[in-house]
Amino acid sequence: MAVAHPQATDTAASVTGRSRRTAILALTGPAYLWLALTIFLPLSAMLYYSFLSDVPIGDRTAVLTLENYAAFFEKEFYQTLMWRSFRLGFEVTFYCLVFGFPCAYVLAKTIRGRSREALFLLIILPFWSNALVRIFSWTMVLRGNGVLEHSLNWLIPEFGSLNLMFTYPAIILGLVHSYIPYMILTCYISIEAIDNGVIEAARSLGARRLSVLRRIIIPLAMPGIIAGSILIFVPVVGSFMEPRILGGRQGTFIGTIIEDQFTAVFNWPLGAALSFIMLALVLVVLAIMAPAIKRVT
Amino acid sequence: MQHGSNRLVRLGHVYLGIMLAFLYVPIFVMAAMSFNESNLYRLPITWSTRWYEALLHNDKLIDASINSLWVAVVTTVLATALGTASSLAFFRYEFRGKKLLQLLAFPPITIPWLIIGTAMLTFFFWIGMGRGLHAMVLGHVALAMPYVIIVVSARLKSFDLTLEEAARSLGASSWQVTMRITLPWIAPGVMAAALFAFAVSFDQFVISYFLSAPGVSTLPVEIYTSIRKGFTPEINAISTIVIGISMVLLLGVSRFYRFGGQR
Amino acid sequence: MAQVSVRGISKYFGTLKALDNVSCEFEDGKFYALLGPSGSGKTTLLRMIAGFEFANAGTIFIDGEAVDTLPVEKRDIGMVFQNYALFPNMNVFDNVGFGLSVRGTDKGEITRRVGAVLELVKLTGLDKRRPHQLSGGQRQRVAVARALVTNPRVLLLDEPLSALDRTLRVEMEVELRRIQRDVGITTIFVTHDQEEALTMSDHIGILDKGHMVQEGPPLDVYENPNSVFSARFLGESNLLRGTVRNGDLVLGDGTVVTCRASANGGTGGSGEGPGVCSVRPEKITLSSDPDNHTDTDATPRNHLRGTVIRHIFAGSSLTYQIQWNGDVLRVFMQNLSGDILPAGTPVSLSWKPGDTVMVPDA
Repeated sequence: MAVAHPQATDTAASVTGRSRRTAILALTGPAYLWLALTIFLPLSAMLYYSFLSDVPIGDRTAVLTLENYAAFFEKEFYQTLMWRSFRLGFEVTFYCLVFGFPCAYVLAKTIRGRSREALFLLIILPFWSNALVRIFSWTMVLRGNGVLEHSLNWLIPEFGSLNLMFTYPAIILGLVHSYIPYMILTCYISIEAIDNGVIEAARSLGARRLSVLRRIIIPLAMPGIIAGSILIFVPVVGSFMEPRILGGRQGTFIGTIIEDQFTAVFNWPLGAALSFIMLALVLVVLAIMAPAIKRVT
Repeated sequence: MQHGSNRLVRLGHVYLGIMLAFLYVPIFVMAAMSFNESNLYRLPITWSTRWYEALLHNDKLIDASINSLWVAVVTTVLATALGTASSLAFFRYEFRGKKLLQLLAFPPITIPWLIIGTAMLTFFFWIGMGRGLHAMVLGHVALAMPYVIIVVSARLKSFDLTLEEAARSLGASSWQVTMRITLPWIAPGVMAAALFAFAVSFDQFVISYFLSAPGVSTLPVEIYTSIRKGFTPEINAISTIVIGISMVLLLGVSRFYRFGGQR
Repeated sequence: MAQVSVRGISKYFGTLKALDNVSCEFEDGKFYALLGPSGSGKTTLLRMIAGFEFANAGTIFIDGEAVDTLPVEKRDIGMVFQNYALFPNMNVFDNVGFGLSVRGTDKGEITRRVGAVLELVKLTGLDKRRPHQLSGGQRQRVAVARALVTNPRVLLLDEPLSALDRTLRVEMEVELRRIQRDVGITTIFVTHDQEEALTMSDHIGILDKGHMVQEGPPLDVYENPNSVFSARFLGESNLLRGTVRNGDLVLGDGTVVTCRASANGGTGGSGEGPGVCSVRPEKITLSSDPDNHTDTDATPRNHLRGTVIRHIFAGSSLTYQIQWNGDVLRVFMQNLSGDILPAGTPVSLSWKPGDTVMVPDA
């Protein structure tokens, strides 16, 4: 009785199938119910809001409209800011990669034993310090009459004053400082897993250091690089706290505009629409990276 | 095993040192300023503990810190439990829609926190739940879950499934298998995931910012409003305390879990 | 102790048929070997008896009770895994006692029974050790002890000796058999190694591509293969092909070989047409005198003439590869004289007709 896709004998299948289904449901149900309540439903709600003309409370009436989305396409102002935010995301991710990867490599491959453990701890410890205070501490360092100015004057007498506050570079600096541990961490995990034997084999075959780096180490560390990049790019695109504190006037990005809609201007529908446009663009970027992601997972 | 010439290696170590210095500049500045007499951060530093004393009377900051702690602890427990359970399901079973579920765990990481925060604010407002610490817990757990799943799944990768089969062949029920065989093995991963979840929650600003109610906020949010209004140096004091405690805790935990990898 | 019955079992993985209508009876208290190459379905069958896989058709009975809907943990079996699967977070005592502790047995009883079974496998005194502190052979014994301590109805072993080195394996073959006889438990043992199957079992079942090809006591299956596959998989065979005439086999070069029909075989020897007979390498006598036709006993022997290609020296034994009529024949003998015939030597092969078995060419 040859059948293409027969089911397991009825009674056996139903008994084990049922208990299997219960187990899977019991294990994943709570988590995904939670996610539904806190991520997916809220996103749907906000999507709905983005098509409203006003916030529906009290005696305000709201109708469905596309004007919030239209505002983005009509006003060049929003588009410039959106591009600015994405550019910030790319720049910060880039610097984190360029400066963080070598760190991860040195730590993973040239240091052993207790020192490595200790250094690893030191690198992830800032995760537990307060992000805001770290940013504020940068203001104390970067401003006129701040730590940096004093240090430079101490090294080079008569250096003069130096005020880096409220500049674009200050924002980059603050963000890179905040997010580079992510990159170091993810790259470290990937690099540490590379079998030293592979590197030795490559060198025994005559590959020079740069070749080994380009053709062996970076490809094998790619999962870490990609993971780190996503963990950095996504939050930075939507950041508003660091730009505001470090950038002042220079610190206007789409993130700060959206924040304004929700906290100051009370134009939630516009904020929602801008958020979804940003989300769509972030997903586009991720989609472009998808082939690379697929290859490493 | 030394790689390449010693000169390059030493260069690498110097670079690492510079990076560490860079990472800790603000922390040292913050700690130093917390002992500075001047309330305008005038240099040079004159030693004083007045800000620590003032901290004791700053109810707002203390309340906010306690809130942060409370939210972080609750988040850790919930996120670790839910995330570990999901990881176990992915590890043990193949089922239709598994790939989809695994994918759906990641939005909290791949969607900017700004959007998640504002969306939650919108939704909770709409259903009448409002803002506050309970709303924050909801948000923090969702944020921490992907990290928990990633860390625990990584640890599960090295777990031999035949151990579970052996236990079942000896008569153990699913619950007994999980409690006595699987969890002991993945315990280090669960610990690491818990620490991650704690860090994610304690340091979380954006979501907390949108979900904090007047008078009820967490430490990061309180600091932010403080900075915008006119910074008080007690902030430095409490931040120094926080990072001091974290360092001690981290050292303590690292006794049990080797963070740097098994080699 | 129980009797296990497998009736009409079929199993599909997608469109791949892993087991095709397999039926088998495993007698109470006997040591049964399931032998076959990889992909033959032997491990799948074992896992189905254990309860880790479920059949698409057919039923499995343990002690007359159909167990298809019974989950693993309720089947009261003991299983030894290929990689032993010792719990790394427990010492030997806790590992072995695990099955008892999940049943709520009280501590005193556990101590008593674990002690008894450790004595059985000759590991007394090691109960505080952890798995990583044990040698391969010791881990194997712990796995066996753990499986036996709960007094299961059936003992299932999935290639438990494959990870051991040769000397240890030979030693464990004897040990396992001793333990099984002492306890008297129905044992089903999966292996791809025919030597293990021959030395240890009361009964062999040969599987190939999901079919049960032949079953029976080792000696019977060995001396009376029912197919070319059985003849070649269990032990070595020289296969001679030719035409059947009057019950004898006429080979390509005209030589007439007298055979007997296999006791398990099909219609070998009855009709005319093409046929195959098998003669085991150890049954052949080799003589460097090609004209040596002296038969030492009454019955005339079969003869062939060939040339030595090469020899394989293995210490106590010697195997010759002989060139005959475009084929390679193997002769296996004990290293009695210490002399080795060089390549190119013309030789005469002879063997008893009773050692030539006609097998169905399937």
